[in-house]
Amino acid sequence: MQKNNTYVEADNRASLNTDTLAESMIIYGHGHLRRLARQLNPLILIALLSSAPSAQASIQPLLDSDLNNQSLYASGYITMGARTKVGGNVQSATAITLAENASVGGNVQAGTATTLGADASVEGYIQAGTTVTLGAAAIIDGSIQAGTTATIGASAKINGELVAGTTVTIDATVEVGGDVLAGTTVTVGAGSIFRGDVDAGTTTTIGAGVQIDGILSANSLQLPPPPPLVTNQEVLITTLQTSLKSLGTGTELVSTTFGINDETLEAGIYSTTDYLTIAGGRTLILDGKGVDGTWVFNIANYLSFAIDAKVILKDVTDNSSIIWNVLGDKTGAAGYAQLGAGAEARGYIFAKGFVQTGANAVISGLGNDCGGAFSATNFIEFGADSVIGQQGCTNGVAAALSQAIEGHPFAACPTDAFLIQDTSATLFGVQLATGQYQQLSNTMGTSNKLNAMGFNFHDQYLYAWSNEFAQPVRINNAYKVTPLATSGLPDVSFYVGDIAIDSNVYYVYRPGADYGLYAISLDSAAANYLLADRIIDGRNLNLAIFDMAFHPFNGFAYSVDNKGNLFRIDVTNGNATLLNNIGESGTFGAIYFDVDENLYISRNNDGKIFRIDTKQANSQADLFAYGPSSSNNDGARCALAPVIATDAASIDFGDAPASYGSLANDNGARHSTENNAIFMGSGVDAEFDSFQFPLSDDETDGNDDEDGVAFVTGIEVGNGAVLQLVASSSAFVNAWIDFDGNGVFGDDEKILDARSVVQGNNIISYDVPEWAEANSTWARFRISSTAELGPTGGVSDGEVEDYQIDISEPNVSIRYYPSASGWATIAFEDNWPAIGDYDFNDLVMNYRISEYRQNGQIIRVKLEGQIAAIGASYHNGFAFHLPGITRDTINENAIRYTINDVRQNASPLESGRDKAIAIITTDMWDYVSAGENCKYHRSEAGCGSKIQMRFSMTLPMHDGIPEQQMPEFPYDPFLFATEGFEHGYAFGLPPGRAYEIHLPNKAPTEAFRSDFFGRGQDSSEPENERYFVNENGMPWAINVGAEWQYPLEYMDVIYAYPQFHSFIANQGAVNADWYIVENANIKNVFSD
Amino acid sequence: MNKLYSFVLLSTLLTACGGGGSETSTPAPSANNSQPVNIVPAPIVSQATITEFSLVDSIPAQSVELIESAAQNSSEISVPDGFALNSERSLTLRITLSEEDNQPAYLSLCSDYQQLSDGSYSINYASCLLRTSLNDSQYEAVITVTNDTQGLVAALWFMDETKQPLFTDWRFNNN
Repeated sequence: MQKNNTYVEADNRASLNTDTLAESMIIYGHGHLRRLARQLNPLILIALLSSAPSAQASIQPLLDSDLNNQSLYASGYITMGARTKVGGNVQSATAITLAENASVGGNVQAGTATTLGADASVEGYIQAGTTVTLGAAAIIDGSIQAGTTATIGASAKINGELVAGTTVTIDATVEVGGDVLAGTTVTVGAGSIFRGDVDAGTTTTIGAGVQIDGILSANSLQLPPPPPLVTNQEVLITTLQTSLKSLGTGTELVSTTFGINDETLEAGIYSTTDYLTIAGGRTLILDGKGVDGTWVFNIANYLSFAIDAKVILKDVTDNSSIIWNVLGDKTGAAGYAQLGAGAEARGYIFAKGFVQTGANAVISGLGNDCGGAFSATNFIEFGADSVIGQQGCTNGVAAALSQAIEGHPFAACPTDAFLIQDTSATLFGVQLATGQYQQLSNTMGTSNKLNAMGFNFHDQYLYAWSNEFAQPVRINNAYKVTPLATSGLPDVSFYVGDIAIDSNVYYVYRPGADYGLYAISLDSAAANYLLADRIIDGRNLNLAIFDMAFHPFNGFAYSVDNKGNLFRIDVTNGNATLLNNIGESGTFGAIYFDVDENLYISRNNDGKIFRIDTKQANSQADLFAYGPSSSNNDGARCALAPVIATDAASIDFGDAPASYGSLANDNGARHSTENNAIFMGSGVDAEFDSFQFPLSDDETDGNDDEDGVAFVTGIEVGNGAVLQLVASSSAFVNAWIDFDGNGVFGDDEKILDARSVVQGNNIISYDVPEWAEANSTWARFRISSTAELGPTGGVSDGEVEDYQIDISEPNVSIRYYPSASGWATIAFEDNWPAIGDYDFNDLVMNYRISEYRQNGQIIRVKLEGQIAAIGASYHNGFAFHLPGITRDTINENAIRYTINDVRQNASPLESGRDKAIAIITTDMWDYVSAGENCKYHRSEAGCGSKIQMRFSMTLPMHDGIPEQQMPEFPYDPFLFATEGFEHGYAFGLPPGRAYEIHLPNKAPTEAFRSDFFGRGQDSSEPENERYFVNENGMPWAINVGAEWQYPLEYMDVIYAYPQFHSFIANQGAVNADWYIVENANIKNVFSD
Repeated sequence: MNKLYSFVLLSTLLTACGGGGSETSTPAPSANNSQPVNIVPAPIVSQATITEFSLVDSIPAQSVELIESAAQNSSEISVPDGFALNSERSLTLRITLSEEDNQPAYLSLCSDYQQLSDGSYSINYASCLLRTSLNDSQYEAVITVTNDTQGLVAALWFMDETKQPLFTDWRFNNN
């Protein structure tokens, strides 16, 4: 009995062509559709295309040869150690030897002799060019055909025929199920049993007690034909190996370092310029990510798995394949493969030289596949107790190769949409979020249009209507079509179709009385598989639609007709419900859904992609992205996927606040960064979603790419302004400034409208309208090859940069301390009037001041800041005093004050005072917390945290303050005690607001109790304008012009900043910048 | 939003150049020790332009005898009378526009900038200490400069975008 093998029909290969192989290998090299779209490097493709014919030429004969169902083949001998098990078929151009207790689950074909040790077994047949020798008690389930002699050991059992070209010699108690046929003599030992005939060409010699159920005959002329000779396949295997190599080098694995430690590889093509070794006990994890994929290892010298080295599969599907291609084409290389004892390999090994394993080695395929080894020129030897393929495995290298060639289903529910265009079908991958698209294939195996495309969630293939084949086709992830013979359809082309989510049924539609809506089952197990069933005729369902898409959950199909009417179609009965008009008209040839129930419609003539939220009643089309346009368009995608991929960031987002539209969910401005060379400034980076304000694209991801626009003049109400924009290439810029500060970019706030820019520096003037509000606001700049863009929505290239900017009154002069974006720092010792530890971190505030002058008068002051540290437990407030400025100078009702971007309703101007005192907060601890296992806030080593309190305060003046009256920077920032909290031994009761600490020689405010002077170590002399210093003149507060890295807790400032004393001793004449980090003893200062 | 650098080719400046110079900053005072004190050196870029920029200390620095410091901790430090540990000083910026340049313009005085090898300036306009419209031929402003400031660049852009901007910078010798 010949064992049934799984053959791959050769005629399936007939449609393979050059591109098939090249593309399929790329696909499985990366195993993932989205990545394919990104990684289709034209140069690689060209290289593959040029190499593909040889691969095609070599694989084709392999699949036609009898190698295609082998698990083992050697041009030299094959031997198996004791108890070694081979699951599949074995073929050698010379001899095959099984040691005792070894077994073969398939057939054994030897060019010369086949020899089995005692108790060895073969489940299939044995064919040998010369002798067959069975040891005692060997068992053959199939037949034996020997070119010359057959010698059967005692108690052996053969279930099939036994045929020998010359003699048959059978020992005692042998059992043969079929006929025995010998060219010359038959000699039978005692007690043997024959269920069939026994026939000898010359003589028979029968021992005692032999049972023959059939006819015993001698001098017969029934000389059987010789067994088929085994062809030496060296040329075929060598050509195949060369072809596999020509698939490309892929990722190079460095021989000297790879495999020394445990390794993990995703599907792909890998190569070495020398050997590939996995060290003893080490593992190589092949991570398939749950998607069908192929691993091809092109190895120039030898392959070696040391003792107990193992290949481990992680999420590798059964339809994947693993090929070890040991070329031996490095000079002097033998091209062998060796597995040490206990080593485990997976897949197939093709070796130029020998393949050899130690004891207990394992080679096995994926799923039910046997796996195996092929030696082009030499032997295969397995040590004892090895396992090559599991028992009952399916034979054949052809399956593994064909899986790589034929293509697989798509990755589970791809994020990208598919768009099919052109009269000779061309498939694109479309990133719906931006409209970015890339050609996936224009060699799909059809010369005409494809249309009515749908993604089948049930089997992960695409389906479409093929004009060429006049029937549906299935499209694999190599983008090749397979026609599906379907009955019950009219002789007409369909261009509307999609596949249901809740049933495995393909629906196609065409208006017209003779046509209509048809359901075609794609379930191959169903009785109506590929039988079209007309649901309704096209007169009763008469819609001017060009594609449709199934909702992810509710079972209805949706479409938009050429007038913009949104229809919901019940495909079970053909009833269509007009929902509403979406406000856009045209031919919407490609329609998609996403998992959030948004419908996307792509308009053929201009490529614009609109989004319709089907969760809302009367939902209107929202311009979502700018995609490719085409006269012939059809789209499909997996409706259960989100629109923004979660595996790799490939979109640049803006970072303006939510009202401007930045997040993906808000249809924020989006630019694909795939293959993008258009940007502003030095570059563009990608995010998964907007780092929306108060996050920042630059600061949150640490990559400063928002650098393309410089506001080289002020932005003044009613005046002209100039900006400088650096572009990476010639392109178009659209830009907006929210002049009225209403939180959106209006049409009349567009400062650049499809403005063409050149590569490099562009000087651009624009006008600020009279109605602009003098305030802080936002600007958005978008650069793209698309000329006309709105402030939101996606586009396939370019960049968006959002800027927070200040609009000022006309002819305003702004002075900043220390600069427009820098911080100054004031640091307190809050033990006053007692001397503290001089770590100057009891309260550390960063701040800056902006002063706005117009016509010689200060019209506005802006105070911004943040709490850098609180390194003490007293409760304190912080305020700015404007010496000499009366409280009523400030237009209190117009003050804008925010803490952490939250508007503060209470006036920060301290009430009941004559002078202007702006209270930042009365208790700093209200806004910050100590770190875990930390006593204080950001002052102890290891106690870093993000900034927890930021403030911004704008103080407008009623009539302006003459310049001469304005205090100098930095005014008079000061600390005061929080009401109700004690503040040290010098005060019997909590001193509250009456307690203040100012910078040295700054007078206290009117709230201060002057009898506090002179307590403790305070040595203030108000009459000499000497304030808040001790007898040495040392202060309780210091102010520096930078974002200071203050001393760690309990660390005297002199140890953190060694130049501190010299600076003081020389009255600032030297070491004036003692406080910069370059002058710090860095281990003694706080850092996050 | 972060650093806003812009790039301007110096060569384009030359078209706006006339004669004269801008050597108007204070010369370095002589000092008894090797440490110069609060010097505002001559502008590195002394483009011969009729429009003149100058930046001088509002209160000229006095030379002092260098005192060695020996304090082991801050409680041993004695502060000279009247010294308030200020970390900033006042400078006076004066600009005189030439007749040719006397047209609406915008001035930025910024601390974070680079002069590139080709002579162009890369300026971070978020680092400015002063931003102002210029509508008169004479401009003067007192600015507060913190001691860590290593240099300042004045960028004068004309509202007529076709007219090339003017740049001048000063490097400080912090000590």
